[in-house]
Amino acid sequence: MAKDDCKNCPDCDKKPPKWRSDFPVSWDEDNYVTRREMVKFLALGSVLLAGANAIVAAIPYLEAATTFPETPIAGAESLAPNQSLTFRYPTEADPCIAVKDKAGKLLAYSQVCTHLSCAVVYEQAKDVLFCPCHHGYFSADAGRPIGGPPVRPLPRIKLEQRGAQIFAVGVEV
Amino acid sequence: MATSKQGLTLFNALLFFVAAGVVVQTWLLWNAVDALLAKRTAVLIPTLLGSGFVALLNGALVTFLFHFDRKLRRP
Repeated sequence: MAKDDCKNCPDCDKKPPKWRSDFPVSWDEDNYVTRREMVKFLALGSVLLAGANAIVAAIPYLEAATTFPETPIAGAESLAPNQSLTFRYPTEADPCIAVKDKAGKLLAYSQVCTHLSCAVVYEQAKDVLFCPCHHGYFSADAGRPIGGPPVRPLPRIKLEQRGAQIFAVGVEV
Repeated sequence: MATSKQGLTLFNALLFFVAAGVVVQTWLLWNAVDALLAKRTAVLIPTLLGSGFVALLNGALVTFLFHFDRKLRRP
């Protein structure tokens, strides 16, 4: 044992150096995590996890408070049954698709596939929205995933008719 | 607490319970994120209440732990 490492054990009458009282933790012991430290880390982690859960729970309320612009969709009013058109909403970076079903009902969805963000297209023959990247299928009447890898529905675009013009007024996720 | 050995056993037991609580909270957070992405918002408040309850329980256990630890070190 080196002279400076002396801890004044009972078998020895040497006095430990003065610095030992200022720095009582040896180099090896410094690498250990004590039970007290561990339980403090766990308690801090517990509080952080509860906080993260609170943030996750608040997200839908924050999204509901978001206001969307009212944007006219050019050409939507003259869309023939079993046809589709694309537009951008709520910003130019958000592609959407409007579909008029055989009964003449107009519906609109985000064009971004909920699997890996490819653009979905309307398949007239099957009356479904189809993602060509991984062969995902969504129902045209509700945007529900009905085949392939997607598990979440397409966000729906709220539409309103004002006179002859169709407006996009919100996003329903 | 009669002896420090008994104190160590109790410390280890409570440490295990706190760790188990953190695991449960991680599972709750996982489910909350999963529900949020799947638009099942009805799940979010129960997971928040569960996680908050476990956090409070962990806080009470840790407070108790350090309380008896202080008593044991300075009887």
